[in-house]
Amino acid sequence: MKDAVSRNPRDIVRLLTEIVGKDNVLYEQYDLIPYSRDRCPFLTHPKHGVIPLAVVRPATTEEVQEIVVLANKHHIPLTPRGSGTNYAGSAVPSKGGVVVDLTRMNRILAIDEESMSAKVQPGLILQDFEEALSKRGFTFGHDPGSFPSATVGGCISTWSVGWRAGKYGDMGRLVLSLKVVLPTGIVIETRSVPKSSTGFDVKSLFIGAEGAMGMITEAVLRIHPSPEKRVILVYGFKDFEQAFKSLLKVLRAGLCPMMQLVTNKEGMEGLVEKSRANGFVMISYEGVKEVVDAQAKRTASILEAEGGMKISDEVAEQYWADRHDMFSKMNLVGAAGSIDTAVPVSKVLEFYKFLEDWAKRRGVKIFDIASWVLPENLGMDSAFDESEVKAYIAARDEALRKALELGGTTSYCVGVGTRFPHLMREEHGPALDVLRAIKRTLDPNNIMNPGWLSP
Amino acid sequence: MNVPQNVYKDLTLCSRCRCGFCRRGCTTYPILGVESLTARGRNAIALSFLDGLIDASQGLADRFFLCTTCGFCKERCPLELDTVKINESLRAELVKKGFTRPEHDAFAKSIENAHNPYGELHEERMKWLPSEAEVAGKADTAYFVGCTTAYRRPEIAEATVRTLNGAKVDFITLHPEEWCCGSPALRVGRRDLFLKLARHNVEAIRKTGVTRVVTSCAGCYRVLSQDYPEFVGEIPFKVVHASELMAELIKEGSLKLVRKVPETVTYHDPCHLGRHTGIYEQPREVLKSIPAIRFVEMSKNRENARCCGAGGGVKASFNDFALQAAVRRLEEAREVGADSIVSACPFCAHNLKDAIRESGSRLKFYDLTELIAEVMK
Repeated sequence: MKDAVSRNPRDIVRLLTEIVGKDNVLYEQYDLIPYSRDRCPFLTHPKHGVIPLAVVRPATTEEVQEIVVLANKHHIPLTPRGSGTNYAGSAVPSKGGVVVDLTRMNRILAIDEESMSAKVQPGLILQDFEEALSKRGFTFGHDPGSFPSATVGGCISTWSVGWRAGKYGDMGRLVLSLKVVLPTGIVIETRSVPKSSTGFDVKSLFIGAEGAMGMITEAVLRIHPSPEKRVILVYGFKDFEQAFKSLLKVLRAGLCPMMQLVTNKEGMEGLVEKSRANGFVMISYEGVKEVVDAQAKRTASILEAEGGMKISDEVAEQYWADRHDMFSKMNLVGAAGSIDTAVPVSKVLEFYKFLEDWAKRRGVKIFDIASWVLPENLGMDSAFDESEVKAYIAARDEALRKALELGGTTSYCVGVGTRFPHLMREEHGPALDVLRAIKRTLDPNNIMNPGWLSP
Repeated sequence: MNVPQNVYKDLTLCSRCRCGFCRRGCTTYPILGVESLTARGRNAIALSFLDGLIDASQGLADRFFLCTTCGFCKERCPLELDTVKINESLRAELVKKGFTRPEHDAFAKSIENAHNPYGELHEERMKWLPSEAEVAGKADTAYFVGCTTAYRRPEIAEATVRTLNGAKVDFITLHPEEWCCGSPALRVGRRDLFLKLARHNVEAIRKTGVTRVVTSCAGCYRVLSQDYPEFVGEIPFKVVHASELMAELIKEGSLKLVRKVPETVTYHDPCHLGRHTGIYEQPREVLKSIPAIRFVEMSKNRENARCCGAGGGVKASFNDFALQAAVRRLEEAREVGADSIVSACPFCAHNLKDAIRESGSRLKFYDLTELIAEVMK
């Protein structure tokens, strides 16, 4: 229930200022506008944003704790935020309230070279982390499109994957332990070992939870030795189907690429226009030189035996160099929208054919379709006439439901946010009630990202 | 809507994209940490303001003025949006609506009255000129001194003249017809004043018949070489920065560097010379030509160089912040073991020297011209 404080923005600002000081509470309209949206594709103009009551910028776990206790007492919705690059609207304060900007908490607290782990704060930007590790001969290995701006906390909260996940795993696998302020203000810290058998894996409650279960204030992450060598191979094929089947041959041979991508011609646009190929496989290895060389040699011979045409190393390197900027350009045309689904490997080609037919039927322009990082992941970038967003959403939902019918998931890395909650009953079935029950137990007053998983 | 159409279009593109790649290397954001001080945040505010979602206010205007317009965000923008132009267009619009900074009002008034932003007498613009300097009555080259050099960093003017004399480059000066180049006016949204200054200076230079204008100021260089042609049309002379000229003179053998500088030296790229006009290599070539010098790069250099924090009217209005930014830059120089930090801009010199003094740093600062004047034959 709202009380007098939660109804009065001035009171909220005053109480937040007592916790973090006046420089770290924003309440002027012009300062709030930049926090009203994330990268959710349909929020193309500031008018589509939701302006919070205030933004608060804590610097310590203790400050976060005080903010949470305050919000819980007065039933003020809290939306944690890193760099706001989420693609599903999870960082949008859709129920109003206060945005908790965690980017002041951006330090590397410790690097334990022997354990190959690092303790960091949630606002640390991935690229800053990677550069700091690189100076000491290490790499983190998490490389999403938003790498130059995304924060560690944001990546954990959306359970993101990146270009290098084939070798290093998704963000969830990279987390050894978490310190979290629960919605009631209790601070918990899990153990920094890869696993234990002393009950459920408590940290997993916060991975992919989009800030709805608690506020992450520290994370211990796995780190890895900097690779001695990286090789990137690109091969062209007759079509997507042949390219995808060739990738499966590589995987069936027991090879584990650091990165793998299968895309249609549009996915390589600007790089291989003159190629006769309509499907491409890109595979990369990195690590110990001799191992990388052997993996690359075996991969090349498999892809060539499958009829693949080698694309120049320059094209491969250019693609690799542009991989983050591509992310920025995804939102530019029409009512751009991506579908980031995963289906069982045996269903990928069926889903691919469905999407081709679906796009023609629904009048959706597909820029590219790609199987990225894991063979199960099948995503596409598309656009629709901006004046017909509702029709686009209906069309998109048809494609997402097809992925569910095939045994897959609606979102393999971007979260649920405000884009997909209406599909969660179909995705989870009765398991949705389990998730909601956990949410209710941890957050009885429903203050953290209220509305999570609920349409 | 009162900003150029391409500026509005760029704002809409940023509003769609929202990648935030501009945040990380920004001069302001990592220090002050507020999203509305990033290019992405400011662009969202700008679009809201232009589309009538929000009214202008002094607080809003200050979000635009608290930016050094260093251009890092432009360099890093995957969409290649001209974020500097966007900010300056919005500043011009806000100034028209009466939202200005008092410090900018003061220097604009001084420029109107005395042709320089510092409230100094125009007659004293050449006070620094040593009696032994040889200035020609007629030549192909003119030395455009600039206000900051003339009134605040006269050692740079003096060193430039000594270098030109040493290399036997005949030159004239434009005094009394050299007025403020207009950079401070244009950068803070005073376009009418800028146009007046640009037209005056172009005409003054044209009348002398010179074919080349040399300047030792990165700000003057940017304005003369890029903004004059854009705002007043084609200019009948070539504009070169002192660092470019020195590199050329060293190469052709007219400028001989003989004295040793057994020091570890790093180079700070001024934003107006580097990111804004693409001059990265010549100052480095000049430095590396100095006998016995040990040249080291800071981790953030060339396109990625960190701004000193002074530009875009920030030092005048937000000096504490400008100093904080400069101290961060000094720290980078210290990290690579430099004894000295060298640059090629009197405004960077001004701010970095202030920061050295305020922070008690042991680093020394030289303008490139000062170092060359000391070591040449």
